[in-house]
Amino acid sequence: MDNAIVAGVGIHPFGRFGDKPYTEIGREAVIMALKDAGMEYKDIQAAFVSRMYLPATAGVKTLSTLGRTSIPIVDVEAACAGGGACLRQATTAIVSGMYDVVLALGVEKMPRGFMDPRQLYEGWQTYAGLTQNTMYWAMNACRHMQDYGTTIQQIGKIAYKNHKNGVNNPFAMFRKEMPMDEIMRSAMVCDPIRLYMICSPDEGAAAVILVNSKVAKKYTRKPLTLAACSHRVSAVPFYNVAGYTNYPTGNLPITTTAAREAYEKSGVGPEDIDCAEIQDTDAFCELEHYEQLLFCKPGEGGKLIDDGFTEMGGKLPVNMSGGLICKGEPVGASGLGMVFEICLQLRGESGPRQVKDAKIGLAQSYGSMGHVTVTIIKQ
Amino acid sequence: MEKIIRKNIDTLELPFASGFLSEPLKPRENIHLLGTRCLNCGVVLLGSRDRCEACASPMVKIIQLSRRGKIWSHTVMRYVSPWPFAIPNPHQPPMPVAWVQLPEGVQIISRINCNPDDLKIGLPVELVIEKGWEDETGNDILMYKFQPEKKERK
Repeated sequence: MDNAIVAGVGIHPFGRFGDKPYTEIGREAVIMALKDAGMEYKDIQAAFVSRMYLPATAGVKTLSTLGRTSIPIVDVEAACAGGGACLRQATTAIVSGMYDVVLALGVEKMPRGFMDPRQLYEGWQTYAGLTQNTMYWAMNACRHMQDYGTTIQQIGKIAYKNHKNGVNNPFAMFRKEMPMDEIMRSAMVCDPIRLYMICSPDEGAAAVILVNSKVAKKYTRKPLTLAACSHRVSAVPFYNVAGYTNYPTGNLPITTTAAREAYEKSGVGPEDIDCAEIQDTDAFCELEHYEQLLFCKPGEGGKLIDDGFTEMGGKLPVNMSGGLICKGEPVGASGLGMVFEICLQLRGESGPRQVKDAKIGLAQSYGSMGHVTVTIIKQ
Repeated sequence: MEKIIRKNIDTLELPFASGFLSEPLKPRENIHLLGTRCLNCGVVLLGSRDRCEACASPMVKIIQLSRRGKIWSHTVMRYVSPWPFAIPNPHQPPMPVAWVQLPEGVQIISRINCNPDDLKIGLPVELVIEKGWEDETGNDILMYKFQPEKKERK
C-alpha cells in the first residue's frame, strides 16, 4: 500500500455567521487548503465531504462553485465523527493507489435554535423526554465518579484548561478565559455537568488535501505523513448518544479499539504522542478519552489533569485549540478541524498555541451511535 | 331529529412503540417490558429483535423482563428537551433519569419518578407503566418508567 501525505490544510473559523451560506463557508476552507498545497482545484481527483445538518448533495453544491470538474464527490455522515470518517475515506482512496490527490472537506451550518432531536433519536424517545445528549455524558461521569473517585473539580479543570487555550485560537468561537468558579457555578444542565463544561453547536469548515507519497514532492514543502486513520463503530455496550439499552459484555470501549488499531498501524504508542486534539463535547468526555486512548490507566484521567499532564507545557498537551468547548461543535467539520490543528502543530505554525518540538500528533473524534475515529499524523 | 355528534369515543391505549411491552395492556400492573435474549452470546437488550445486536446471531428469544432492578447511574435533566411536535410538551424539569439495570443484566434508560435528591447508584427501583403522552388523535400512549421500590408493609 502507498502512503498518504498531507499536502495542504485549510479552515473557516468556527462560530456563528448569520446568513452566510454553508457553500461559502466550505469553499473558503478549500481555497485556503489549495493555496497551502500550492495546487489548483482542477488538481483534485476525488472529494469526500463530511456534513450532517445540511441538505442533500451539500458536497457538490459547495465544490461546484470552484468548478465542475466531473470528479466523484461523496457526502459522508458519521455524526460528530464525520470529519474523521471522511478523512479515512480520503486516506483509503490514496493508499489503495486509486487516486493521487484527494480532498477531505468538513462543513457544517447547524440550524439556529434547537437541534431537532429526531435527527439522532427515535420518535418515542423524543415524546418521552429522553433526548438530551448531556444526560449520557452526565451518567458516564456519575458512574466514573463512583467507580474511581473522579471529582467534579477535575472535570471543571478540563473545561478551565480548554477555555484558557482557546484564547490563543483565532479560529475558535469562544476566546475568553473563564475563571474556575464561574465554570463551577454555571447553570446545571444534567447533574453534575454544568453549562460551561459543554460545547455549543455552531458553523465552520475545515479541509485537508491528501496526496500519494509518490507525487508529494510536487505539492508540498512540509509533508506530513498520515500514519493511521481508524474508524470503528461501537459494539455493545456503548453508553452514549442516542442509545436506550445496553448490556455489560466486557468489550473494550470503542475508542480504545480504534486507538490500538491506529497505534499499531502507525508504529507508535501513546507515550510517543506529542500533542492531541480529542473530543470534548463536554469536559468529562475528554477525561474519559484520556483513559480510552491509553494516555493513562482506567480511572486515572482525573490524576492526569490534576498533574497538569495535558496542559500547555505538560507532557502531552490536549486540545491546544481550546477544544470543542471553545471552537463549538459544527458536527460535520469538527473532526477535520482537529486534524487542521495537529497539522499546524507538526509544521511549527501554531503560534502562541505551539507545542515545542511536536513531531507526532493524534486526533480523535466521537459521534452519536458509537462512531469513533483516531488519526495519527507524523512529521 | 337530533344528531348527536360524539368525539373521541374510540380513543385507545397504545404502547409507545411496538415490541417493547407485553400484551394484553390491561391490567397495567401485569405489563412487562420485553427484551431479546441471544442464545448464542447471552446478551439481553430491551425490545423485540430478530437478530442479536451484540453478536449478529439470529438465534434469539423474546423474553419478559423482571419488573425490579437497581439504578446503575443517574442524572437530573434541568431543562426540557426541544419539542418538535404540535401536541403540547408534557415535560417539566427537574427530570430524574437513570440507567436501570435489571437482574437479566440488561440496562435501560428510563425516567425515574422520584425526588431528584433520592437518586443514588444501587437504589432499588420497580417498573411502572403509565400514560406518557397523547398522540394527535387523542389516544393514550403508554410509556415505561421506574420508581423507587415500594417497601412491603410488615
